[in-house]
Amino acid sequence: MDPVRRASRGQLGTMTAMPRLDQELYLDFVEGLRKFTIGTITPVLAQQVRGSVAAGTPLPEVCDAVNKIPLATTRNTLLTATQEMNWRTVVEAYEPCRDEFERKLAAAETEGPGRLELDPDFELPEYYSAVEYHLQPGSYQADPIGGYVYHYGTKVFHLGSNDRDEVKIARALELPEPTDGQVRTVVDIGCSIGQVTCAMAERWPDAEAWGIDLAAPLLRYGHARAVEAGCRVIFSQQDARSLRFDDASVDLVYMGTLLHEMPVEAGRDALREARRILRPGGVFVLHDMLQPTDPIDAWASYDRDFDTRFNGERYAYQFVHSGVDSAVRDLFGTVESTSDRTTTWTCVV
Amino acid sequence: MNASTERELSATAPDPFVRLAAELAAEVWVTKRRLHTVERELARRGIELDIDRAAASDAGDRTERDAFIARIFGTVLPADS
Repeated sequence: MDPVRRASRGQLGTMTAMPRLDQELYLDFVEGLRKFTIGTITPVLAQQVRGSVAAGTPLPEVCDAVNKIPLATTRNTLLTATQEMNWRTVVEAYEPCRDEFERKLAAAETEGPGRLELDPDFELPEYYSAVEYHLQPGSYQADPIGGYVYHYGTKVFHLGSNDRDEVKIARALELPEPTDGQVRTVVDIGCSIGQVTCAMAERWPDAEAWGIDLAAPLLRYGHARAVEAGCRVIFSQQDARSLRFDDASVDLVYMGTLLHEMPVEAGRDALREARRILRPGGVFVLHDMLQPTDPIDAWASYDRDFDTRFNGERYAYQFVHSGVDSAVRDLFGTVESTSDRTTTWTCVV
Repeated sequence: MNASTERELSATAPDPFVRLAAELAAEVWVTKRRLHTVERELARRGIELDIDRAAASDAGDRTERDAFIARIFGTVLPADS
């Protein structure tokens, strides 16, 4: 099969379609199996765990108890297997398209309406480059076409609910404006491929919209998507702990699912930095993993530990049990938090 | 199955994945054979398929997929769940 044909199946939602129908169907099955594992098997297991392990039980004892439940082995195997099947297939499927993808990314680099700011001397933090997040081969930063891989790979993570960026667009639409209505600069810290960032730019077309991330492959891909969509975003390679924005210069900061991918102290630095760049009256929205109950729910504790040890979420358990709620309340004048499957803090300087 | 084999089987916990694999292998075999039959018949009638040239399609309604998965993998769940 020639390279042109390999990438000729158009789009699936907002993603580049799998080059072959078999690959697309395989991943559709993996997505369905993951959905069944999370949506049907996991609640049954969680109920079994809560029925046998009291809330507040220390984690090692929780693990000992859960590991004796046969369904736990089944569920854990399915979760890790589907994750591995997903990444392996996406990586293998896109490999023949590599040259074409790299040409597209390179061609978009100098195009507008936004721009791309990469630092060739940028040094990635050790804590970051040491982890393959969510088990993605090469993680976010090591493969030049990692943005393509990440995008299709996270389709499975979202269980098909974000094929057209629906989840990310909804997230941007939920962001509250500062009460004075002035929105001149908005910043998405940890923007990855810029799905929320582009939605923010479209919501506030007169504002300067920034997408900040460490990973050049994700920023390049996000920029290429924005160019194609005519979306005006500045994608900039920066460390969330030392942003190149003046004090009190930003109206709105969004930080989505970033902190659980950082060691606790690094995350605290990122929070302080977000606070520094926001102007008085500016809004900060933090969205991340569900915070623990008191006493700690045994299943939630087990599940987060599993994620940490077996799903490339090295810092997740630490983050969830780090008391981030207090840290946020120490930094911001007004803080409201809501929780469902995740926790969102809405803060005003 | 003789009485001795039955006793041996009942002494070990059933592995739900063996059942699951058996179910799945049966489904795969049926599908492969059916597809092969369809492609052969189409070729006999002069219709050459080029499936990989077809544009990707949004799965849209995933009801059938999800029902299939539930039927296969539902075997791992306790009977009373």
